[in-house]
Amino acid sequence: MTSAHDANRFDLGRIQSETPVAEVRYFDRIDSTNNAALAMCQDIRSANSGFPSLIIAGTQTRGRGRGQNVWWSAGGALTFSLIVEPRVWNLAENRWPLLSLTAGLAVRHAISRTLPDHEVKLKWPNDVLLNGRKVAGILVEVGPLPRRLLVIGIGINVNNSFNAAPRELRTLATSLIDVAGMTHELTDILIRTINELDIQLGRLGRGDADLPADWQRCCALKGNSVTIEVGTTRTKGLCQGIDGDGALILLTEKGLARFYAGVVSHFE
Amino acid sequence: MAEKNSRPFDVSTIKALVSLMHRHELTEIDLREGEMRIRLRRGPTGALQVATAAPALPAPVPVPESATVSTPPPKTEEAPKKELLTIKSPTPGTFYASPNPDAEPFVRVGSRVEPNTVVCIIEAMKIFNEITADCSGVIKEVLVENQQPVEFGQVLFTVDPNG
Repeated sequence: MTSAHDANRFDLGRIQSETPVAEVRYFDRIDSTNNAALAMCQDIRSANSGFPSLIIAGTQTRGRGRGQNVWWSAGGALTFSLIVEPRVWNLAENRWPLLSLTAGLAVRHAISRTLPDHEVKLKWPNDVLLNGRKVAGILVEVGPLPRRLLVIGIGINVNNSFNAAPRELRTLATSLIDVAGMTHELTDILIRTINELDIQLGRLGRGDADLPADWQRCCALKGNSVTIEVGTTRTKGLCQGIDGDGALILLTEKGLARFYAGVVSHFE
Repeated sequence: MAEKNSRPFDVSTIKALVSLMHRHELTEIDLREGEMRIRLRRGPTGALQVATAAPALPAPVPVPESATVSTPPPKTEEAPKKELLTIKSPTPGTFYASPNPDAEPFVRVGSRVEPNTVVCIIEAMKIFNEITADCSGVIKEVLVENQQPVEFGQVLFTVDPNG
């Protein structure tokens, strides 16, 4: 059986040969793979690759989530960022907001293929839940002008057990090892996720009409009573799912409401 | 069309006709009133051609930009109204006027912008997209409040290209 130490090591040769990324950069320890990727955007020369660069962290010391949230990262988490050339994918600017859901769907499929007997769903707009607890998060950022490459940052709890995490975190988050009771090769999960991203970004670029149906099918909030905060305004309603343009739809006291931004603070 | 009592040589009437042509993508308007006649044509490149005659009509003369009219007797012409440009939201989302709550707005009324000037951020599904002016000029109006929801294609700013 593979030891946890070996499982957490990356096989860079396999990643390079089994995924469409043009180059792989590995950092043993880094503050945030997204920060590194954004800094690298200026130096990317290849214009023909959909994924010009992949940045992997052995340990991420300050992975970023939404706003000021910091990704809780113990050893064994898979944290990486992909630089994406939107022109190769035919991703016009008006489709960029759909990247969080699209990347989320790819992560969801990769985890589901790894743990087919468990429920893996999307929590609008950029989290993935495993058996109702957060297992992965996505942070998409736009690179600097004038080129405006995109950076998709992904964190997946793989071999980092939450058994040792603070109690309040244990009820909200989980990992593959906690659910499956065994370690997984980070390299396998990474390759699977990138190749799923390759498929799903292709669908988004082609305007695949079935893509929204997949978000809808995998929506963790549908049918739940949801509270969403937009700025200082809180709205509560029954979630009807995700619309074709990515909006979260709530049935509120005043009727149907659509949200393109906001924080889902509570759902049950 | 022109009101019954207005004259075809009236500059405001011609402006209204030009506006109608643009709005409805008409290529030609030909009006007659007694011996007076006005014919407006848009050329193949979109240039507007204007001719007025009483009663013989000379060949239309291409006019490169806005309509100019030669009418006997010549009158003092109004300066063509400056066309304002617009900056629209490329996606639905939330409008942010500044990079963070404590920072100054990216632009204000009177700010000079170039195509690559960042004018605001639109957040949608956790993606914070810096919106650039994509035109040159001076911000004439800011039409959206900070943190206000916006729709796809909603006009956020007007820009005076000659400002």
